[in-house]
Amino acid sequence: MIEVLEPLGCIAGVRIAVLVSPDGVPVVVRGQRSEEARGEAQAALQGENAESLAALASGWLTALSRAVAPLSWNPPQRVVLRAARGTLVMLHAPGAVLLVVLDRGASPEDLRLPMEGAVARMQRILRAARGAAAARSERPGAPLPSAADGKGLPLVPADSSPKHSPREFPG
Amino acid sequence: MSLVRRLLSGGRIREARALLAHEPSAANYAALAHEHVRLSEMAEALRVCEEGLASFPGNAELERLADRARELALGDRTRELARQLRESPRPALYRELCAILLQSRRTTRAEELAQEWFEKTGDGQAQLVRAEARLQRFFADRRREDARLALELLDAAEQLFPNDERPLRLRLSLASRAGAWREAQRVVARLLELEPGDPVLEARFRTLATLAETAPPLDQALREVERTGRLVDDEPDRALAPPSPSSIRPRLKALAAQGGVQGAIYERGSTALVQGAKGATAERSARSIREVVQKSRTAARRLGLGAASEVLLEGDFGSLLIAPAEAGSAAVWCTGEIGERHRRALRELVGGVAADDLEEGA
Repeated sequence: MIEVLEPLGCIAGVRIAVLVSPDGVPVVVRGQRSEEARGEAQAALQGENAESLAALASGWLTALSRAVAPLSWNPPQRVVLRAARGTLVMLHAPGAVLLVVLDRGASPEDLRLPMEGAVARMQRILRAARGAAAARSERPGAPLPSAADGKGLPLVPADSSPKHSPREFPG
Repeated sequence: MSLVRRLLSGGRIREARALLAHEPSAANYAALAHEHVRLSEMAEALRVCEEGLASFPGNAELERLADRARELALGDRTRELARQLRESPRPALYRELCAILLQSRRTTRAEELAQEWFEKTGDGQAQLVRAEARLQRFFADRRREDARLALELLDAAEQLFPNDERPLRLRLSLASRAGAWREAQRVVARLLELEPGDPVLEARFRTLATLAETAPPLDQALREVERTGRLVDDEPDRALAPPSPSSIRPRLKALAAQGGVQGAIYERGSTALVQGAKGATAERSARSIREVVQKSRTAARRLGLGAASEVLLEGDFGSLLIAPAEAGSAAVWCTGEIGERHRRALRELVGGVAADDLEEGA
């Protein structure tokens, strides 16, 4: 997923871009053209490590969804929190959340298209991965591993016709 | 700045001044300050921002502009000091640059530089500057973690300077502003050991003694500051509300009448004015907005982003834009996308609202 986030890190004003996957592991890209982005040590000093950022931001998103639920509104797809020292933008993707922290003064509107593009690319990658997994699962595995690839391919190919009848078994 | 450009900008300055004289709102102060910044008149821009902040304390846009103007005004000296530090790092240069950075409220950079100062020279003063920077950060963001780190740095500074009152003074300001009176009293007692007979300290000790009985411990007080986002010496909401000849209701009605707008809400404390929704729906909407504002303020502080100035939610319900401010919060719900006119209307609502206009509740 790093390649999905890298273009975001190249945009001016992006401090950090994090994709929080369904398993809760954040994939992180730090901004290369951010005025306020510091090294790892500085980020850690400010408590801006990706794990805590992802946890706090996800918690906020959940709290927002809960707050608007009494209005019969579905959870928001995109949220922007503009503050004195930066802006947080979060975009809901299927099964994941993409979040970006911007420098003070950077416009979240400039990030709308790149973030939607990143989510679309992520979905394409996931679809391709699902397709490959489905193709693999169509071939039933053999109870014992084969010599050919050692991954449980059938000993007898599915399309091969029996070369002998059951009555011809030796013994 | 060329003469032609100055002449062309002069008209815009006059226009901005006339607009401000006609309607002294925070947005108009910001517009005039912007014009001065365009002309590189940083001192004048800062003066306009300070004048605006005197009328609209805590206005995020004016504070941001003031910080930026201060930063630019001190930019030349900052660059010169940074150059000299690269050539021959020494405590006096570090001290001056840190002081400028703290004055410009660039606390992160000041803390970073103080750390470098301590590592290179081992000067104990650097620990004090780090503590002061972290303390400024706490006063700005109200994060408990910042206060905890500031206290650790103050402990280190006190060990380095056992008979110095500066770390104690910083500790006292933290305890007093957080409302931890017992801790404040303990610090004043230590200060009195260093300066016996100081009448100001003695008077303060007596005042704190009356407050200390029911005061929470320091950690609990810091927790409360983080939860509410308020320090004990913050002005109450009503005092912050600037006097304005206009009332909220007509503005709210005008906002709700705009195309695509489903509802407009203004809230202050437990009172809300709602346009576009009625009865139970209006109450539910007000409650939801209040919760979103509260959660967003806490989240912004905990994320280290400072005070929240705008929250935007987009989904299949449309768009909800909220402008949280110290004096009150305004929100607009649209079916389509939020436009600049919605933003401007909300800014005017939270920037220039009279306290007495909120008598009618939804």
